[in-house]
Amino acid sequence: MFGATEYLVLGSILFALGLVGFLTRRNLIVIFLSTEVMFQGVVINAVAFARHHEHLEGQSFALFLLVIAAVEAGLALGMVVMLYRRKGTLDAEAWSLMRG
Amino acid sequence: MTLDALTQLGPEFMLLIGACIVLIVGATAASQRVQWASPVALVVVLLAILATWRLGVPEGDTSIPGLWLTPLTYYVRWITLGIGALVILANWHQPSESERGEYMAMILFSLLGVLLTASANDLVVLFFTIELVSIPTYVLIALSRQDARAAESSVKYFFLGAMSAAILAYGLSFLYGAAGTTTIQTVGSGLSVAGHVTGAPVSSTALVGWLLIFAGLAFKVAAVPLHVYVADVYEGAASPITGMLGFVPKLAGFIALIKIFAAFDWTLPQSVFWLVWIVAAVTMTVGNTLALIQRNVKRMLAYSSVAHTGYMLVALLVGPVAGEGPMRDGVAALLFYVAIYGTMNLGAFAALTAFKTGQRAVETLDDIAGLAARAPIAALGLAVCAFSLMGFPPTAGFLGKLYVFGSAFSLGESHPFHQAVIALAIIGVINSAIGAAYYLRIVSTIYVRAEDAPAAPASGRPVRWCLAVCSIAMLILFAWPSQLASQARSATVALHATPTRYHAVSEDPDAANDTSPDDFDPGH
Amino acid sequence: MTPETLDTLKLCGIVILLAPLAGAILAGALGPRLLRSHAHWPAILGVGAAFAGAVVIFTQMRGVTEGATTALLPVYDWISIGTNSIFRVEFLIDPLTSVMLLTVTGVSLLVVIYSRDYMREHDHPERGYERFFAFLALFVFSMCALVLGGNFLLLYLGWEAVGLCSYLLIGFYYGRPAAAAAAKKAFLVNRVGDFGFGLGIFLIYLTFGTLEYGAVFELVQQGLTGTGQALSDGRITTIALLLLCGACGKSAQLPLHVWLPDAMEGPSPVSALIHAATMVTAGVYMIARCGAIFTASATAMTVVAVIGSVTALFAATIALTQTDMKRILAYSTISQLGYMVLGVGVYAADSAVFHLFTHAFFKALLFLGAGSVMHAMGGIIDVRQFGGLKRILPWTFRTFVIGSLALAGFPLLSGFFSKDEIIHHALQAHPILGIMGLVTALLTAFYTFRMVFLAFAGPERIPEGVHAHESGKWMLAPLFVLSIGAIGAGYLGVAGKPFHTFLAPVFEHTFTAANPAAHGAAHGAAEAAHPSFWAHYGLMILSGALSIIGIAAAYVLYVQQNWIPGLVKATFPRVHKMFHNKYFVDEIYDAGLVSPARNAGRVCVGLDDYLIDGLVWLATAIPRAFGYLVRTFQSGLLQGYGLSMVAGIAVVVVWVLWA
Repeated sequence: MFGATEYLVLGSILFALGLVGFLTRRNLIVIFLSTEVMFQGVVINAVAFARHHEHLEGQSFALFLLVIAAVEAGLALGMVVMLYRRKGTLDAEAWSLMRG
Repeated sequence: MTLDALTQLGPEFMLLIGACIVLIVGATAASQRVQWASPVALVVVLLAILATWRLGVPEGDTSIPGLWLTPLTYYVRWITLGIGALVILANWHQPSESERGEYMAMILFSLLGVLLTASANDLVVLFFTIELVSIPTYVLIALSRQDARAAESSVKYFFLGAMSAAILAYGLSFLYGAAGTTTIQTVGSGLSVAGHVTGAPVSSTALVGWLLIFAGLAFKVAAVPLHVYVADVYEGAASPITGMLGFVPKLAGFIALIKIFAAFDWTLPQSVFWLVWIVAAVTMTVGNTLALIQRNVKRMLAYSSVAHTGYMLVALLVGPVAGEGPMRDGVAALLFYVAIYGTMNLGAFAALTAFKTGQRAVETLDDIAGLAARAPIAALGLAVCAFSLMGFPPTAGFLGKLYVFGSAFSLGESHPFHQAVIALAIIGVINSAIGAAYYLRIVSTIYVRAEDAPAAPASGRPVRWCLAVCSIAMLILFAWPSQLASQARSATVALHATPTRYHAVSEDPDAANDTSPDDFDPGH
Repeated sequence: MTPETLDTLKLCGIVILLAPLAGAILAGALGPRLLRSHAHWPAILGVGAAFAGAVVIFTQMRGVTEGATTALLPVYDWISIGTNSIFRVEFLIDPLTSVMLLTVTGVSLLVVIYSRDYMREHDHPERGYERFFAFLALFVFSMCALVLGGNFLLLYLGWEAVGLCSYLLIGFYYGRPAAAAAAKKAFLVNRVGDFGFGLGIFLIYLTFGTLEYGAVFELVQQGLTGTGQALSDGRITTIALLLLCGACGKSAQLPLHVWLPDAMEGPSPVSALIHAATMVTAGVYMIARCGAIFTASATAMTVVAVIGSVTALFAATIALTQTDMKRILAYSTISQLGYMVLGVGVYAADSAVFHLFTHAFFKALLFLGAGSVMHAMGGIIDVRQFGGLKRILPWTFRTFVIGSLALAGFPLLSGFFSKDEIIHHALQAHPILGIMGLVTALLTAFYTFRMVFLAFAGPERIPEGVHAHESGKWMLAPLFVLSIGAIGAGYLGVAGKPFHTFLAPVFEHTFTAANPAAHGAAHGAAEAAHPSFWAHYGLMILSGALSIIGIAAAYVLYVQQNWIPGLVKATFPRVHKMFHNKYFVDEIYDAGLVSPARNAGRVCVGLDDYLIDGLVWLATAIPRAFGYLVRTFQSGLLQGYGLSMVAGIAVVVVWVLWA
């Protein structure tokens, strides 16, 4: 049996992994998946705190987070299709027309 | 929760139902029918305004789970719906193709998000409403025009927005963990912070939560260092929707920040105070200096939007002063300023929308050179908005700055950091002077410089109406600011809530039964 | 006053402000496309409504039989600073306000009606027709705001707004370089005055901690500052002199009078309304309104009186030699304004306001008459180029003569009574200034009729190619109405003096109470109550005689023996040249201020290129350089942005948690 801290560490590891993925991967789909990993870290955090406080608010928080993540996934899917149609590539660096 | 309680959400339901209708009809009807989307959207917003007016000021109604209807809700409903109607006017002929139904629906959803943010009384609801504000804007940018830059703008905004949403959610989860509740009203007592003392210690869990929430919301309001996306996003999106991007996410972000600050009962650890101080100073300076070197008016206005965030952060740092007007009460000043800023910023972008050079939208300083000679009235409108952004009398922008900096200067000596706040206000005044340089460049370009490529009128009358209303509103609000100012003042009443008031709400057995999250709490 | 009266007054005040403003907006917004040649209607209706409001206010004020005749009516709070210090938009309505409103809106209404025909060529509206009416209505709004305002802030806002309207209307024909230059000159000279005025108001706020008239005046009369300390003489004199500086600019008094003659480049109705009847009297109004401040300083009052009388005499001598009808009238306006300032300076504020009132009628009449001549002569206004117009322009001639008689102080016309009163008080207070006033009266009669005879008498001469014709009914009707005023307005000041009785409560505690002459007269109360025939009528007879002598002299010199002026001119070439060139004031300013400034400017350009430009460059370069530095983060790359965000957050988290 673990205490809250271990779960929090697990959540933070997931979150950090997502963040690193977001910053380093080149493919837009993978970048997006990295943000999903970050969200999963948050979900673990929320559930861990719910267990710590012995009530269900964190559980419901986790469910709602999944909803938002799903919404963003839907949006990301549409966007990726649009982008691929335009340039035929999903390289993040292909989209750097504007700067300064 | 009864039907009676739900009628309290009249304006929100109007927007929700209206948005669904516009969305469904827009998606299914033949493309020529789509002409109706804009008028219908406008009618929906006007109905919501009517409902707001009929409902009057709610007095801290918590009968709907997760929501707390306060005078703040009332104020935000007015300014959001008012400026929202102007946004619809500015976007009347946008986009020119068949997606107008979806487009208008997204605007309505985004406005709905702002209204709900103002009423949110739960960290989860707050997160939800912030996302409800943001997600439609990603779609709006992509739909706004058939330009590769619009796609790029959408992509940058969406991906960075998703990342910042994850950071915000992470922060909210820590705050929930520290407080043991997601109800914002009771977060303060959960953290057992009390009193108006800046410099009080908080647990490190709460502090991490606070920092991450601040970071996530800094993205929405475009504060340094989370401002980097702003110029690219503004440049890529079509001008009329850019006018909305300067207002809607910023308003939602600042409301959320106010709620979080209020949840901590305006008690900031010393390091956090200095953090916000530095962020405000750097945000003003970076925004203004970056705007100074732009030649593209949209990018210039984008960075100026960052600078204005800095001014608003000054007011946020001052915090509320019970029973005082915006000249003393920082939060009232902030709420006043954000309404003024939304209007003048939208007016400036509406002026850009009203013209085109060749087939291209007006964007750079060269495009608007000598505009006054051909379109004197539109040029005058743009000049009024520019002077207002600059903060010159006789425009409302002057009063906005007067309130924000005035609230900082009048901070009493009982505040442990009043000298630091005054120093920040002085930095703000210096920054306003830098800001005047590039706004004056816009004005002198339209009045003094000879035209290179004459800009021709584009779009129809609604955009011009939008510009006219925005600029006239700036003049009228200068002459008669008291109504808006007193509303802003009463909107902060719920935020002065002393700990006793929080306890009164949470310990009231009826209220506790109605605020549903507590019902499931076995330890309660 | 009853609450109902107060409500009526407030409503009227709001109508007086909003109706012309609405007229201006409608004329400006709908004029170009929708109204076109009907663009005068919003202005006429708006100003008409304002006039109706002024009449109602007047009747209400007349109806007040007991209690205070001053009403301070808060309309709304503008800005509140803290809980107790508030800047309000508020009206101060008392008999003085009422008289000013009647004058302003009445003359405005006539001028707007007159302009309907004046701004047309062959019944076709001139270019900028709607702009003209929009500005005119905007002017009425600003002037009413100035007069109605219940505190110094509104006074200042109205003051600046009328200045702006004046600038816009002087430069109405902005295509003409002379008009553009005149507008610029008016603007710059007024800036000098307004700078002092603004400083004065700022000093008032610093001293008394409020800008509300009643509160300030009460403190002044108690001799206290806002913090309850004793008010020093130096401080109150400084305030009064700074305010006077503003009055000198707006009311064209020495040495800031130079803009008014040039302002005649604007259309004639503008000259009649703004630069003769109303706006230029704002300075006089302000001094009368701030009587408490001015009378608290004997020094300031003396300065006021001296400036007024010197200006009156000075401008009258210049008017002797001018040949442009509108310029003659402009100098005569400066001279008459000098009388008014002299009047307040010798504690006869009621007489000054009375003169302001009568002057508005006859001077507006004269300017509109001159405009009618100009309209007939195809834009020519130099009396050397035409003459003997009395048969061509019979009605203009008749009304113009009435106006001239009134201006000349011909017995039993309005100017006679009001001017006489001021001279009377001046003689009591400062005999030398009174005598200067009498000399001015003689000169006034002379130059006025010199102009009349040159323009209307003698053989008919009209410039070639001009189809001279009498003006239409829209232009003549206002002339008739004003003629009646020019004849009759003076009788309000005799036989029981209803005008003065009406105004008396306003000046009761200021000018009347502080008047040293009145204190002197208190000793011989019996004499004051039953003055001898000569004390009462001697001056009247003297000034009437001076007026007739002046007119007769003009008749002799310019009709019968018209070789004499040439001889005089030849005999005293220097004097003539000095008068004709307006004492070289413009040249002195040019040589003393403008040229040195320009030369200094040239020297500075050298410095500027290297030093100042360098500094300015540095001032913008530092932010710009910083901008370029920060710009390096704006890489345009999605993940580059992500990295700077995450790095920023990481720094903050580490700093806050472990610092």
